Amino acid sequence: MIHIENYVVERGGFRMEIPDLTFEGRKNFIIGKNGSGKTTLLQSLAGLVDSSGVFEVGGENRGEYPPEQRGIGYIPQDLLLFGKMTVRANLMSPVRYGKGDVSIYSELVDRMGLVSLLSKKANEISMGETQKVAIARAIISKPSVLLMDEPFSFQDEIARLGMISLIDELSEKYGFDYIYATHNSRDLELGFSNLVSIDRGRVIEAVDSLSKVEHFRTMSLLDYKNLAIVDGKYYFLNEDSLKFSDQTGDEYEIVGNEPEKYVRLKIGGNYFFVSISKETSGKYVKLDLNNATEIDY
Amino acid sequence: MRKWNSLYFLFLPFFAVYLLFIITPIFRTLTFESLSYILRDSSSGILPSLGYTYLLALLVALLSIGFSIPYVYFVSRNRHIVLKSLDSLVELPIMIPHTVVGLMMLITFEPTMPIGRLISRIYPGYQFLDTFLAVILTLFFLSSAYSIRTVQISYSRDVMKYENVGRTLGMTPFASYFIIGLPMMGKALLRGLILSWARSVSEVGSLLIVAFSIIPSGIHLAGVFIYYQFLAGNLSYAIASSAILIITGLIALLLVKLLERER
Repeated sequence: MIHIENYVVERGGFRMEIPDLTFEGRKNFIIGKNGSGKTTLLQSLAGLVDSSGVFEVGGENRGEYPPEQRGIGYIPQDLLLFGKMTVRANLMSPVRYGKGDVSIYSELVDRMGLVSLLSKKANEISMGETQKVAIARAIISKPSVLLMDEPFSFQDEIARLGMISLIDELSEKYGFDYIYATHNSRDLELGFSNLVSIDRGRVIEAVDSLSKVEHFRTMSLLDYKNLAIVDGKYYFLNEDSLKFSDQTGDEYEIVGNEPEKYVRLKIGGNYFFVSISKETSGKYVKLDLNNATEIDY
Repeated sequence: MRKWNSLYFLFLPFFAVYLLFIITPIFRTLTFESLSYILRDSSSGILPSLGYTYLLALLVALLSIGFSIPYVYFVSRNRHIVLKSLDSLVELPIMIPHTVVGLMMLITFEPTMPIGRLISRIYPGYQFLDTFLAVILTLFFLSSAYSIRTVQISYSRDVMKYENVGRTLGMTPFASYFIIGLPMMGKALLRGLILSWARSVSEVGSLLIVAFSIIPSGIHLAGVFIYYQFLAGNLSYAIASSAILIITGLIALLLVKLLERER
């Protein structure tokens, strides 16, 4: 279990404050826009950025330790293999210079099919191979928590979700929890223990199921449909929220392909999309907010 | 087939004019006197002066690099505003007129001045004016900023993040710096070395004040030597010496570039 309390990180003009946050379970995700503070949070948990407050793993305050003693693995977005070293030297670096486990090294090299790469320079292997080596190197260091900052974001869906599945499998085998920062809702489709939504250095909400998401900011990161901002208020819409007529209302357009069709309407200069299943009748559309759910920002 | 856009053609003259502006005076200097005249001038004393200048400049450049390594680590790892403000002083020597730098060094290190007097108390017989030490300190003051900034950009932009990952893998700060960081800085160190070296070779103004000739050999550093030839009214010899300086300087830079490519 990972517990954060009265946690403050200041970096340049950016300030992150987390009064209380707990991750129970192995598979944890952080979602947020670019600049929301995902990287700052992960780097501070890894000890690479100064922070104050409590950061506990299994009841032990790891926030007091320097990075090399925290037992927190970190895979950044650009993976950062040591390019001039061989893959073997990269994988063995946690064993040679840290508390890494050589038996995990041997197991992972076999299990992840890395044998043929060992003697190659790290800057000579492909992106997919680099990702595998970065994962293996972090796990060989025997972390109790592995932090990942969108390390597979430049991959296609199959490759990215394949990597997340691999981490799932390895986290069970080697007994570490992970926190994976993303801004892609597809990453959550394989299931999660906790999803934490952050924005501007604040936690918006923490849920263990997508059905519990309550905030517009989180919903808009997960999906673009059935959300609207009207007169500064935030709404979750459905088909009944749309009233079509030939006399009054706003112009609209039907977009998408069968069977997924959406009404595209313009409110306050912005486009919003509402799923529809039936044929529309009438030139204009009006929102019936009595049939919509107002939600928090 | 590659198609050039109109902006490319608009900017092409700027590129050409700039290159011409740089190349023309160099070409003029190299062709002002005949080759035989230049060869004859090589016995005027310019060659030992150049050799001495290049070696001293290399020593200063190595000293600058030696300082830049710990300096850059310290500054890059600390975000305190006071430290950042102090760090901006590094560029100050670049903007101070070089004769002023000579005067500054003189009133700081001459044995008759407070700090110089203190040094001479510790090292009896200490001298500053026209000494090897005066050259080293003055050139270091003027050229160290080039190596520090070159190394600093490389370290904070490209290297630090690798060291940080090393720390999360269990490496101590010492291990992550010497095993991961420093080997990655090879190119930046070499580039910093070249810039500091080149800056030292080109110095004249401050040396006219602190080391017109270096005792006991009485040798002049190259810039001063050529200026001396010019003052003596022999423009042809001064130009011929300048041509030798440019040719040897180009060869030295070419060798370093080749070395850099090799790496």
